[in-house]
Amino acid sequence: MNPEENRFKVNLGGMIEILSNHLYSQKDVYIRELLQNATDAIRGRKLISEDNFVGEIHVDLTIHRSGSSTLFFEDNGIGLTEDEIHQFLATIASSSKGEKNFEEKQDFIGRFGIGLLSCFIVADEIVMVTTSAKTRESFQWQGNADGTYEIKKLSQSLEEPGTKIYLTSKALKNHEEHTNFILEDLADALVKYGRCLEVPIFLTCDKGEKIVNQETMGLGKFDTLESLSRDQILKLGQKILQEDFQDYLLIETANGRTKGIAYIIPHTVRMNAKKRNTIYLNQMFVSDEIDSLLPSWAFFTRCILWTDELQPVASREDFYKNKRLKTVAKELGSSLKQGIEMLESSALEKLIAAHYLSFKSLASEDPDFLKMVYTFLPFRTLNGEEKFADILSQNETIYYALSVDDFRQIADLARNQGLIVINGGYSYDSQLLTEISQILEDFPFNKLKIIQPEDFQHTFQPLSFFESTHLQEKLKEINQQFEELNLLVIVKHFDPSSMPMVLLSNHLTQNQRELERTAEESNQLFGGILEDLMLEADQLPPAKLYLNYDNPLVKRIFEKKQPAGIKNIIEVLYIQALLLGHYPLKKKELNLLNSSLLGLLDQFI
Amino acid sequence: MNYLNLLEEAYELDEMSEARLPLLEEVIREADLARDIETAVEARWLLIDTCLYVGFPKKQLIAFSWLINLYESSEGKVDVFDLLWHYKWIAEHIVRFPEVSLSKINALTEDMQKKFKEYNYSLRPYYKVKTLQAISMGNRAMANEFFPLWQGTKSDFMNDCLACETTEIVAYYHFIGDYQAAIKAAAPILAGRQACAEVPHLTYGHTALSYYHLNKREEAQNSFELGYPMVKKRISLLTTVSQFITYLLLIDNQEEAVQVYQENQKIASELEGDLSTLHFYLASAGLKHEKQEDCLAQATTLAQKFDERNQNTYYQDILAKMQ
Repeated sequence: MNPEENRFKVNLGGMIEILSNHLYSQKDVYIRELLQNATDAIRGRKLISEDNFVGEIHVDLTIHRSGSSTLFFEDNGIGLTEDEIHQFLATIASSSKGEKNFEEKQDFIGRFGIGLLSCFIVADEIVMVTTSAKTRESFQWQGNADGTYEIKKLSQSLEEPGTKIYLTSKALKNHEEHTNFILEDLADALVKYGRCLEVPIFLTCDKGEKIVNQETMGLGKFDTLESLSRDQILKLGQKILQEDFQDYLLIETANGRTKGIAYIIPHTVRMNAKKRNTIYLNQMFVSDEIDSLLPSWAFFTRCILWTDELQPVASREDFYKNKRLKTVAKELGSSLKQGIEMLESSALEKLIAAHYLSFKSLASEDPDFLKMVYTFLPFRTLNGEEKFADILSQNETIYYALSVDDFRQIADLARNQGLIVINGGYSYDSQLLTEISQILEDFPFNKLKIIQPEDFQHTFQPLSFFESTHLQEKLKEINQQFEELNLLVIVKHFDPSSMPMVLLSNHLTQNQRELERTAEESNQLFGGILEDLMLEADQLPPAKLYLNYDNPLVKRIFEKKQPAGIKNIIEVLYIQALLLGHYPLKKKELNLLNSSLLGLLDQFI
Repeated sequence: MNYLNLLEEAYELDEMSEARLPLLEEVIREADLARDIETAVEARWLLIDTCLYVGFPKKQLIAFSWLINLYESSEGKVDVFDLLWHYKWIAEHIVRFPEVSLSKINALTEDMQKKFKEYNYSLRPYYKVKTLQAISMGNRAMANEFFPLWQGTKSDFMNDCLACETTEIVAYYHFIGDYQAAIKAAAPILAGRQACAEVPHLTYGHTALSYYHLNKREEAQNSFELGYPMVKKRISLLTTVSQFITYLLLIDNQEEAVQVYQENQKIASELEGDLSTLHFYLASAGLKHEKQEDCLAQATTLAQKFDERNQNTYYQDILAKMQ
């Protein structure tokens, strides 16, 4: 029989260029393509054969005396008929016009052709011998990197259906010692892509044939995850993700078609760290860098996922971000959440301790989730960082400040009055605390309330009529002098008497302070610009310096006769209040401190 | 409470998360108190980066003022590259404060140019900043003067990301009314070949209006539908929200325009009277609803304020034309 001489009707060089340099990011991707072709063929044959059919893939690498090498791939799948061989070649031609067509078709024959062609990334010549299970006829197809190919019918058909592929590469003309390296590489690639395939992959090595995917064969097919022991799952994480984990959760979508293992990362990670999830599509490895399949708050996990419902992009290294994918991501997210809800409290506590920011972020968007975890969340209080359950146990009424500034201003007073106050100024806290206060309304034990500097002002007692007339003139005079500092001095009675003063100011005044402080430390150009941005004094309520008339020091001050001395001492108290509140001092204030102390010295000496 | 722990926490949060700001402000205050300059510098850079995404140009400017002073007064404490890289943003955004005079804006921009020259960086970012300032100030002549210089100057690695730069070119063409060129320039973004954290978000506002003016209604609507969900309620993208309100009014969709207004009114009210607030109220002044008077009053006051500083009548003219 005369072999048919044919020529690809596409620019093969161009196709190979696209395949090897642009479409795929991994050079070993032809291994995946060969595995995919073999697996598809075996799955195809399973559909038409008796129950006892067992698929197998065999791989062998031969280094010839001439120095060239041949990679051999064999499956006992459905094989191709002559028509189908012509068909795949035609599909290559049509798919080269646009990847859209080729992705939508998803048919076995079309993919087969593209997969085979991708082998030209490494091979100079491809020979395929195939026997169709339908016709039992055998054909040989031989293609070259220069674009020519021929098809011939073998006079004697092989007994068993299936396909054998021989890739010959002159480029692999290597020295002996290189052989091992290549074999190892080949074994690694087979494991990477085919680890979870349900078909055994036999690789010939020095000691004969071994099954490279024995341990994990068929892993992730329905119902296999639940049957694994905790130990096995943790070992799997070690093996596939190369990280030691201590905890994990099993997750799946509502239809069960996408599922996996979410390992909990045992250390704190950045919320925007790159998410690296490993995913298998129809048991074949797709990528270990997928970040779109779980919600962003799930960054404290690394997952291994199996799916049969997502659509891969042309390179099959990622998925289309379509509606289906969004649904899957959402459902995996809720599954993960459910898993967290089922955790024992000790496990939950450990988890939250390492990833509390993530949990706060999640809880701030999900009231039900918050209800479940709020007692475990840490907050900052007057005593440092405490778990919410521990805070609750300290008093019946717990207060929280809405901003860092509020907290700072009231901290001293609150501490002295024995109040329990949480600083709600940081990440998510005030929002969470507001929601927690509503949760607590359903319980009789604790109350959670907002506290603001003004609330303290209401508890301050006014001076008696006598005291007030006594101080009126002096205070008026002092306040005239303090106008320049935008400070109002007020004398009251308040608890505890050991506290001589407290400084309260609103956020506008605070912002202005910060602006002034930076303007002082800026060059002329920027200092000038910042000054333009400052609010007019009449737009700013003055900071209030409350002096405690129950405090012996304050009482003494007003017993003094010289108004200059009174002013100096109050100035010192003001600076002291700023320092106690951890406000960095402006130059003006540092100078004030110096001049007040000098003033006092002058009066004593 | 150790401020270094707070800095750690800020690192864990996303760069684009507003929750970072109170943490960083506290770190800055405590580091300043402790005279821990290294941390004070680091926290300020982080604050400036986050402000770029979540708004608060004033906080950004305050932090930068401190850094540039430290750079000028003590050698080696502030990295030159960091300084110049961020200077572009500061110079671009300084026009957003009507309180800052033209002469000070110019002095600042010249200072930026001087520093770029000093280190032999390409002046491309400087020309771009001048063009963008001109667009913000409604100064057509200035935009036309600097755009060719920007485009004609070679870029170096001080250049902003490609997607941002493309959008800024689109913004220029949109501003001068060359809608055809705007759409043409936007092509790589519309085709999905260029993108970043804020692109195509910012691009769709320009393309919605440009397509509208080219009478390509379907494409215009498409830009709106794709773009609006990306910018909704994002304080730093309020100008694009405003463009969508303008677009909806042009196609006579009062109902949806009012809805967009209502969805974003809260974030607009949180801004401290800056340029995007003007854009928002200017666009909203054409809405027919109970707050129309308020929007008009806000727009009038701000337009006067900005025009006075810009020494033109650009914004007041837009307002007059709407009525």
